[in-house]
Order: sequence, then C-alpha cells, then structure tokens
Amino acid sequence: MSIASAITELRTKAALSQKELADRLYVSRELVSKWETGSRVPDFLTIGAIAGVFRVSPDAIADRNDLVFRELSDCVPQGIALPEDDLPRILERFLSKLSLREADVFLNRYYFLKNTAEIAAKYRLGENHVRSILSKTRRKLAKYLKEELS
Amino acid sequence: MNGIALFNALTKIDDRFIDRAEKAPAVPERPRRAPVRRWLEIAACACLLLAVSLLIANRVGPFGHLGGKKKSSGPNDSFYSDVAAATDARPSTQAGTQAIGHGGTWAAVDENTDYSLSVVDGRNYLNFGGGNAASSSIKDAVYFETVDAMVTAIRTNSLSPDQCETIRNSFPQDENGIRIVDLDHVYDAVLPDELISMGVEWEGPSYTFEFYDENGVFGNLRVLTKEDYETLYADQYTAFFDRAGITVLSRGNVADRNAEAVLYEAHDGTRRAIRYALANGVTVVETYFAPGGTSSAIPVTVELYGETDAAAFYAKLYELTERPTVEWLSRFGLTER
Repeated sequence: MSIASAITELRTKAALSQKELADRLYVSRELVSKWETGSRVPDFLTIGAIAGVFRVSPDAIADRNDLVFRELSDCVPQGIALPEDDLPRILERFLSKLSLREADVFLNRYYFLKNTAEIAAKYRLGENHVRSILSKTRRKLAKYLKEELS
Repeated sequence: MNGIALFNALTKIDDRFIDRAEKAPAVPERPRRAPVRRWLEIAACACLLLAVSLLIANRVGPFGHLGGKKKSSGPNDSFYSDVAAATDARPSTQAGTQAIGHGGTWAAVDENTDYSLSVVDGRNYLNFGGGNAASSSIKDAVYFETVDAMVTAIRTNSLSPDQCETIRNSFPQDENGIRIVDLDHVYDAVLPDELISMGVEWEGPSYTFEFYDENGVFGNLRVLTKEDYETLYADQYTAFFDRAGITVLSRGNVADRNAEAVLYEAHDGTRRAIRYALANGVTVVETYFAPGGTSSAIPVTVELYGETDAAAFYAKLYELTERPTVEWLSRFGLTER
C-alpha cells in the first residue's frame, strides 16, 4: 500500500476530515490533501506524527525495511556521516547533474516510492532499463556523496 | 538508518524537481521534416505512380492482367530496376569511404534521424544527414534489451529521435564522424548463470552489459575494440601497481592464487590490491579495504581484464557478499554473435 492510500485509509477509518488531521499535525489542509493524492510525500518524522494521531506503528504507513529504503542506504558510503541540514541542497546539486530522465526516474522510485513496473509504464521503458538506470544512478549518488562529504 | 535520512532529505528538496518528476513525461515529438524533404517525398510518390501507370499500360509485371499494351520483356526489365532505384535512394556517404547499407524506407527519411554508416581505416562510423553537432554536454548511453536489438536498430534505421540526440551528444567523434561498434562483429557477455542481465548500454565504439544477482551483487562488463582497450585499460592492468595517484606502502606476493599484492594509500584511504591471472588469460584485480578495516576478507571490487582475438572486455563487480572463487571468475568472457 502506498503512503498516500495508507494515510487516506487511516483518516477515513478514524472519521477525521483532512482539516482535522491537518490541525492535529500543525500543517495546512492543502498539504494533507497533497499527501493523499501522492503529489507530496511526508518525511519520516511526520510519518511518525501521523502514526501517533492514529495510534499505529509508523511502519503501517511506510515500512522502514522496504527495499526502497535499503536501496537508498546502499548509496551512503561507509563511514560517512550525513549532514541533515545540508543534505537536501546536496541532493539538489546531484539531481541537477543527472539527465532529466535519470533524475525523474530516481525521484519516482525514491520520493514517490513507485515500483519499477509503474516507472517503466510511465516512461515507456522496459523494466530492465529502469533497473539499469536506478542502479547506475545509485552508484553515481554514492560516488557524489563520497566526494562531497569526505 | 541512512536510507531514511536520504529519503527525509528528498522530501525537502525544491518543488521544481518533485513537480517535474510527478508529471507524465511528454511524448518525444518527431522533429518536423524539412520542406525540401517533403517535396522530394511527393516527387518520389509521383514517380512511383507514373511507373505503375506505365506498367499497367504495358501489361507487364504484377499488373500484366490489366489493360494496356503487352510488353515482351519480363519482370527483370529495367523498369523494375529504375523503380527500385528510385525508392531505395539514400543520402550519399562520404567520399573515399566504404558504405554499409542499412534498411528503412524513403518515407522515414529525416535529416535529424537519418544517417549513413561507413568504415574508414578499419573504424566504424555513423554520420547524420543533418550533421553530427552535439547540442548538450550531458553524457548518456543508448539502452537496448539485447545486443541483437542494438544491431537491428542501427542497421534498420530504427533509432528514435531521443536516441539519435544521445548519440550526437555522447558518442566519441573524430574527423570521419561518430564512432560506433563494428556491426559485423558483435559479442555477447558470457556470465555465470546466477547473474541476471539488465540489458546493454551502447556508448559508441563500445557497449556495456549491466547485471546483478539476487544477493545484491551487481556489476558491468564493457566490450570494446582491442585498440580502445589498449588505450583505456592497458595501463591499469599492466602497470596497476605503478599508476599515478597512489602511494605504495608495501609490495609482496600472496601464495593464494599466486598473486602479486600491494598496500597503497589512495585519496580516500588505505587499500590492499592483489592481481593474478586466470588459466584463460584473464587478469583479475581484487581490491580490499586495508587490513583491519571494515571488510578485509571480501573485496570491495573485483575487476577483470580479458581479450579475444578481435575484441576485449573489462568487467567490474561490486557489493560482493563473499570472495569469488577462481572457477566462478573464469566463467566471464565474450562470445561472438
């Protein structure tokens, strides 16, 4: 189940409106709406807060052991500490160095958490091709992080 | 967990990246044909219609049962040759080169995607009718599921406008054009059974097979001409321990696999590398973190350097979960299609 449908399902089961959920999380109703349509994805701190509202485990919304997160872990070279504050800007610079298609495929996998079949259908590519792009992009990211952070 | 930290950071990047990735990609538009080309196409169609009319009038060939004057000559008449010549006309190749035919129809001709293939001094080239000038510095490769698909696409002029753009921007060029593979001698990677191929990335005169296994091992095997191999890799496998950029701390030999060993300081830390030859002539270089480091028993990478009579390959394996055996490494190679 996607993060978007998990939030929608938990909210409707709890009989909360988007506005009520937004108020409890101190965010805008528009942002909750975006989470539920999948056009934006909450970070793990927020996922924890959402899970707290519904009294469920954060893994009920996004499984931390999901393959996607393990794949992302592989991008971080051993012994490198990630600077939390600077990391978004570092990732923006990295994404700017990629071709448009590489960046879009990467974000569809690691931001929108889509599977390779969905990405392949969206970009009219073979699944193997998508895997190949993701594999190469992860290696590029590992190299980039090593250069930037060591 | 670092994966979560990266994911959290991705949720904070600028909206423009997210908005673009969310949208469905625009369908690549085929560039408009030049007006001159259109007129040529119309003229070609008119010639074809005229030829058919004349055939009918002369009651020859497939239209012989229709009305008109009966002609004595058969279907090998020059008329057929002329029609064939008219419909088969292709842009001329460069003077002094040996042209290689490729498929396609007149209607598909487009100066941005139409190209000629040639061989100059033993090297294979591709030249676009509209010129080879690159429009971007972004480097990429052209992906195919198999080597056969790659050769067929090149020979039949089935490369998409996007692929042609990548070729202009990314493939090496010299005074004779864009360098490409020798289509008459292409090779498949021979891999251990458990490795799953993810397809082929065409890079001009070379192409690379990407592969992985269920345990997370991944790697690639690049096929290239012996000339390019000597230029790009000879220094790495013949003078690996004397290359620039490393400070050698100690040298020696390891009895295991009869390998030479070196401990060296690279820009990112201390490494240990060993080099040995397999019975089939392939050179192997295993690189480890320094002894006492996080992993001194499993190589960080394993590189293979191999040659056949007419081609060469370079393979690199990552994320190994154990040290590969000599028997397993000996399974890598090339086979001609």
